[in-house]
Amino acid sequence: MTRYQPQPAAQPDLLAVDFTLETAAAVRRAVASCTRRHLPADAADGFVLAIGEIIANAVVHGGGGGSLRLWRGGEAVHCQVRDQGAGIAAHHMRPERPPSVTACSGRGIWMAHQLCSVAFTTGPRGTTVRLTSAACAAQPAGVRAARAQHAGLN
Amino acid sequence: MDVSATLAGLRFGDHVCAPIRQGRELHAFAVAFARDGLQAGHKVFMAVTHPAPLREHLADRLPTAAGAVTAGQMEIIDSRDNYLGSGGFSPDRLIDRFHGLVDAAHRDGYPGLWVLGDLSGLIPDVPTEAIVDYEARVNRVYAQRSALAVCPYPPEVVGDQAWQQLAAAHPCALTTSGDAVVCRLRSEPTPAGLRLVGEADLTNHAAVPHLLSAVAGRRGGIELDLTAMTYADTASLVEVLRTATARAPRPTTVTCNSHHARVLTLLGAPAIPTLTVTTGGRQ
Repeated sequence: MTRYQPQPAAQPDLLAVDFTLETAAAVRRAVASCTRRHLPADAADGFVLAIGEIIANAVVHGGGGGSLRLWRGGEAVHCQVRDQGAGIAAHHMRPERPPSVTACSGRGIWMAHQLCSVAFTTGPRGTTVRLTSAACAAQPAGVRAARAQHAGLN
Repeated sequence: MDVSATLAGLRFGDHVCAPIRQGRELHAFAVAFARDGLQAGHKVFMAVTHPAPLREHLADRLPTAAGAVTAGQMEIIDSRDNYLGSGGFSPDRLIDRFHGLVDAAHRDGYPGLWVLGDLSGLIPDVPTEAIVDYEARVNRVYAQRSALAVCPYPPEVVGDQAWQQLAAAHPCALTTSGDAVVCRLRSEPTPAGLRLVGEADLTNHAAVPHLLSAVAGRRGGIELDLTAMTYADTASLVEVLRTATARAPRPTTVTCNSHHARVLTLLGAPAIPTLTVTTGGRQ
């Protein structure tokens, strides 16, 4: 089991809500609305995508839904997504390389790692994922590396 | 409930899965659907499980209905005649049929076609999997033609699992209570390709490859305009890359906001030599 010690929210929650398949998009929109007030646009979009992928993972693999908290702490925005699924295997929590274009799944968590800091606590009674945005306008390392590797992007 | 308020503002490219029950709910929605479609000057085509009571209801509640039927602007037929015909359930035949209906609408002077397509009465004679497959594949019609469709599926009749599969095959689905849109994506044809508008996530990204397939087979270059996508999950953007890869050596240009360009880069867009990604603003 991978563990981390959840930190108490430094400030009151920006958002605390449960979600299911039907409400996942609405929760994601609410996350976007909150996040865009605290982060630069590109950083906010990346953070929202990372959260969206973790929400989707909870819906599909974590028992059909979960709960989400979003709060501001220091220069970053933090999010915690909790589900009651059967846990997640270690190799899924930190994919070492991007899945190929032909792969059917496995990209969501990989993408989240590229866009923000992600930490898991998981076990047979559920998974908690903590996501922390890049501070201020700092660009996640994955984006910097990809930009450097593919400098020819228009 | 009457979902017509939830579905206000239907536009070409919409293909919606809606939790509309037979009888009163379907009749109430059909009145609003026919009223809006006829007022906008379009051809309205309704294939429903029980056409006779719907005709009576529309004649009662919509003053323009009878005239529209007589003039050929509105057609109300039995779902079995439309979707099964004499040859059984065939998605390929139905896709051709709906292309033909749009063509006919244009020939008759209508800007486009509004479809109320009720397939729920075909279940279980037609397996749910076959209907899901059809609903996914028919997206290509709505992606490139002046047409829209609303498909009523009562959740308690089709079952929870089938409802989720049916909803996912549509680029837009309502909640099972009908009071909100879960996620809405639609496609608009452009001279060089198509423009995707709205959101794509786990609830509707199964429809994305079918929308893209509407233009993927074109000779020469195509342009995929994603600038009006307010959210695109990783799986949806992978479908864009798959389309570009499958089209090689024909060129594909994607125009999108800087965030989507960044995600496409992370997913390997620069490794596809026939793909050009240009940033075209943030929505």
